[in-house]
Amino acid sequence: MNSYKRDGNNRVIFSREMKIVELIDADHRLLTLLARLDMQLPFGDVSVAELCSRYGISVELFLMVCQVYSSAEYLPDVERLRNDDLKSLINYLRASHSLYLHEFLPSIARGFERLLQQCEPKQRSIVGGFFEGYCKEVAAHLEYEEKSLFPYVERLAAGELCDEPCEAAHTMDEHADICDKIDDIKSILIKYLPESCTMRERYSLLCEVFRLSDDLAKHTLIEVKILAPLARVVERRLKDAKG
Amino acid sequence: MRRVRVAIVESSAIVVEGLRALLAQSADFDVVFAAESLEVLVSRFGVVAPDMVVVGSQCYAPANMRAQWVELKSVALVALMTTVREESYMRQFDSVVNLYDSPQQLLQNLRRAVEQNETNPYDDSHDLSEREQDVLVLVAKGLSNKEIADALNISPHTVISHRKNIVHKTGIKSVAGLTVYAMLNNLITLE
Repeated sequence: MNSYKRDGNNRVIFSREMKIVELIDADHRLLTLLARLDMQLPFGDVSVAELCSRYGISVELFLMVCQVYSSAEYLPDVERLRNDDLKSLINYLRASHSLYLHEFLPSIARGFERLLQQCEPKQRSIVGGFFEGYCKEVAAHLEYEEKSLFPYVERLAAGELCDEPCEAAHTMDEHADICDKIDDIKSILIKYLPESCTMRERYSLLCEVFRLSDDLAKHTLIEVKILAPLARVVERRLKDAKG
Repeated sequence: MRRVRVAIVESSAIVVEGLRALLAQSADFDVVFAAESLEVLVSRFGVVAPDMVVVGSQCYAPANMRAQWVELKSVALVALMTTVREESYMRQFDSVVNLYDSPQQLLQNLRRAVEQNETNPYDDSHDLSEREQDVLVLVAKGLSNKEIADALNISPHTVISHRKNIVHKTGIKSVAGLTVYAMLNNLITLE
C-alpha cells in the first residue's frame, strides 16, 4: 500500500497521481477532511486527481489543504491557486464549522455531562459552566467568520472588489483565545478534576478534547496559511485586472 | 540586609581574582568560594552554602544544572560570559554578567539575579505559593494587574511575574480557566 514518496524529512509528498487509499494510509486524519468535502466512500483505486475532478475541486487546492493539515511546517505557495479556489476553500471551512458545532462540541458536552454526574453539585456547576462558556465563545467566533469574513471572501471569489479591507488577519487573535481555552480544559481534566470521576469517562472525554483541539489548530493553519494570503492575492489580481 | 554569599566557578585565576576584588568593594556581596568545576562546588555545598553561583561560560555545565544538581535549585545562577553559549544553556540563568561590564553594571546584574530568583523561584512543586494564591484570587475576581499590585502592595512587575508562575504551574492561561481552578481548590467560593 505504501509506495508513495517521502521527502528528506520523511514527510509524505502528496501528489496528484497518488491513490486516495495511499493518501489515507499516509495520514489517516485526512479521512475527516475527505468527509468535510463530502467525498463518499468507498474510493476503490481512484487517484487524487480523479477524485478531485469527480467532485469538482481543484487538485492544487486539495493537495495544499492536505499538506497544511498534515505537516505544520509546510508553507504553501498560494499564487498557484485560481481565484475560484476561494469558493471551494470557503465550502470546506464552512463544513468544518458545522462539524465543530454539530458534532464535536455536542459530543464533548455529553461527555462532560456523564463525567460531572459523578461530581459534587458545586464542581458540576463550576466545570460545566466553564465548558458552556467555551462553547458559546466558539459559536460566536464561528458565527462572526460566517457572517462577515466568509461573505467578503465569497464576493472576491465571484470577482467583486469591495472597499473595506480584508479582515482575515484580524480574526486570528480570537482563534488563539479559542485554542488557549481548550488547552485549559485539557489541564483541568488531566490535573484537577476530583477523583470521583471514573477513569474511563475521563480518558474518553480527553481523547475527544484533544481531537477537537488538534483539528481547531489545523483549521487555524488553513485560514492563516491559505485563506488569508489567497484572499490578498485574489484582491490584488482583481485590482490589476481593473487597471 | 545580609550579604549575598557568592561562589564562583571559573577556570581562569585572573577572572576569579578580578571578580573577587570588584565584589570586595561592595557592601552586598561576599565571595565565599571559588572552584574550577561545578562538581567541586557541589561536593562542598553544605559548607559553602552559597546564595548565588556565578558560572564561567567555558566551564563544563549542562543545559539544566538545576535538574542535575538539586543543591542548585534554590540558588541564584549567574552566567559569566567569556564566550558565546547556546540559548538552551543560557535560559537557566537568572542573570548574565559580561567580561567587559563596568563595576556598576556588574553589581546591577548580580542584584538582578537575586531579585529574579526571588520572584521566579525554581520550584518543582506545582502547588501555588501563598502569594501566588493571593494573586490568583484577585485575578479570578477580575482585577487588573495594577489593581492587584495596589491591593497586595507589590509592584505591577511582580504581579506579572506571579501570574507567569501561576500559568506555568497550573497549565491554565485564561481567566475563566483560572477561576475554575480557584473554585475547585476552594480558594474562592461560588456566589
